[in-house]
Amino acid sequence: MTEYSNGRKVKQSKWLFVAASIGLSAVSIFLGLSFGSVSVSFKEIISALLAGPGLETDDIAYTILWTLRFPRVLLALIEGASLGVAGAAMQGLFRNPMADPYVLGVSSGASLGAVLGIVFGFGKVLGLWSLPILAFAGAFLSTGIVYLLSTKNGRTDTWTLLLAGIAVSSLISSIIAFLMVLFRQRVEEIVFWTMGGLGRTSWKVVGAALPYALFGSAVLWFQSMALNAFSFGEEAAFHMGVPVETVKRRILWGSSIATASCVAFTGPIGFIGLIVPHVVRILIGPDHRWLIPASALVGGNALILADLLARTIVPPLEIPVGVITSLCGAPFFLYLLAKTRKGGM
Amino acid sequence: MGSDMGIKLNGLSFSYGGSVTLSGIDLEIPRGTLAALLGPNGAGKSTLLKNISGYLKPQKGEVLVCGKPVHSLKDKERSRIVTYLAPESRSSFDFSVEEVVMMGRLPYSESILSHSPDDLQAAEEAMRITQVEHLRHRPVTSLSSGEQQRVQIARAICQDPDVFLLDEPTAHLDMSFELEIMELVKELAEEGRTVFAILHDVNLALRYASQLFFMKEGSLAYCLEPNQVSSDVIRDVYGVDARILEDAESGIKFVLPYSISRL
Repeated sequence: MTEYSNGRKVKQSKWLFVAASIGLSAVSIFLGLSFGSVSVSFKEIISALLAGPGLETDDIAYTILWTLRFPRVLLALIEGASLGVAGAAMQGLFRNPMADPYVLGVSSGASLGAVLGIVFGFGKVLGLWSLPILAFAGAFLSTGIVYLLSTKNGRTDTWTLLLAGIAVSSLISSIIAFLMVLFRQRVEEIVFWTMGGLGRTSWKVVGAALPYALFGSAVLWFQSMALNAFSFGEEAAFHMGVPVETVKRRILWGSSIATASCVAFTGPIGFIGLIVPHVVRILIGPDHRWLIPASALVGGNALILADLLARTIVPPLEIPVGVITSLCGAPFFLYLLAKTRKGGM
Repeated sequence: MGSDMGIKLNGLSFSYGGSVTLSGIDLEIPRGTLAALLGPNGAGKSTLLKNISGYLKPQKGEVLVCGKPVHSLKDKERSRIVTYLAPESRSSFDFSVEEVVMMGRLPYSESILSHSPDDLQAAEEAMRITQVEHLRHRPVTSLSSGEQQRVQIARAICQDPDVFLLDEPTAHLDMSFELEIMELVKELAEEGRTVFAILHDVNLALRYASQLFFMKEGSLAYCLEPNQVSSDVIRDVYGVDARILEDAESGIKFVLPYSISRL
């Protein structure tokens, strides 16, 4: 762990970490803008940025940057940040570093919504927006079911929440599998959606996802002190004056809003919400007032870089970014597990 | 501050759904009293404390803490008046001792970001009197059980309630810390706070508490002063034959259990 000998140093190191993450994000954003099927130089990025959006021009670099890469990198930042924040809050709520933003069924619910859209061809009704809207509705429906199943007399039981989340998720997965068998001609589309990718990003998507992501993340951040108290259990938090049930509801819905808004456009992207808060906690400690914003920065960074890899690793193919995050995330997570076991947390 | 009574219960009954856990409990503890709650395992002692703290809601009866109905208070207001400390309270994450003690200021916090000078001062004071200052930057998860217990008590003191409900505050403590914690708790009472503590050690209760409540099968069996505790009471409550002895030099009374009662 960090420095225990001096309180001021601990605080300084947290500021330092946040500052370094912001610096790294700037680097990642530039890398994300620069590389891809067509490389764009640093100079061209700067001049395109200075020129501003909406110019009529034949400049390919300008067009690629403003219509494709900026929105894509921004969505990666927003989604990675939301997943990081929601993961930190979920792990705090469940007092378990193995929890992630998807435990309540956000990802499976969103997938089911999108799959229904794909197999029944709802795509024609609302055009480009039909799948995201269905996915968003699906995410909320499944979270709502999980919430209702675990709430009785105004009290939500955290363990039931976790178990109901697992049960509902696996039920939904089997429904999706069933639909895939029935609609074989759509399997590729379904698989592609559920693997998660940022390829369908546009400025409109960024504009639609951003307010929800910001709102949800802000709600979660304002529960920081309560989440700190939760680490001693709900009963202890109650006796420290935390309005336990209100806080739980805010965390559930805040986390769902923040992640569902992005997942609805990109499909589920795994491991960011699991690993990022875990790593950040090791680096700067468990205080949620710091952990949540730092997880946002690191999560955003991680997804920008993962998406960069997804676009460039085997050109001209684009690998779904969810595959990259799992490929990098799972071994890294195992390494952390082995290390913390040896060190004895 | 309203009432002279720190804790007042009128006909409190509570059940977890199935069988009755607590039935018809009446009790009064004046402010500034250190009262002990004793009785065999499963008698309902912790359940009673959590009913007083507001965490559990009785089906019948009234709970007044400092004259206020605890179950109608807002979370923050309630936790400025009363707090309950579990026998074992472990954090799932590596908070530092200082951070944990600071959590006691939650009911007073206005801002999410920073603590007021009052908060900082309260935390310093709490760490000083519980002697955990030197541990302040250590992660709580790395401490011994006794140290963790002292940190929890520091956190409760930092919270500054009028009524402390302590569930086995001396569990896991060695002899010297046991006495230190009891001295500390006694001081809290002398400052005018009300302390209601579950103790397993009747001897500690005899020595420090001014009121001893004995529970048996969900009811309050006895309410006694230390010099009223007799071997009959011990036999009735615990089913143990015991002698009540007095140390000639210190004048301290103690219970010597010598066999399981055959009655």
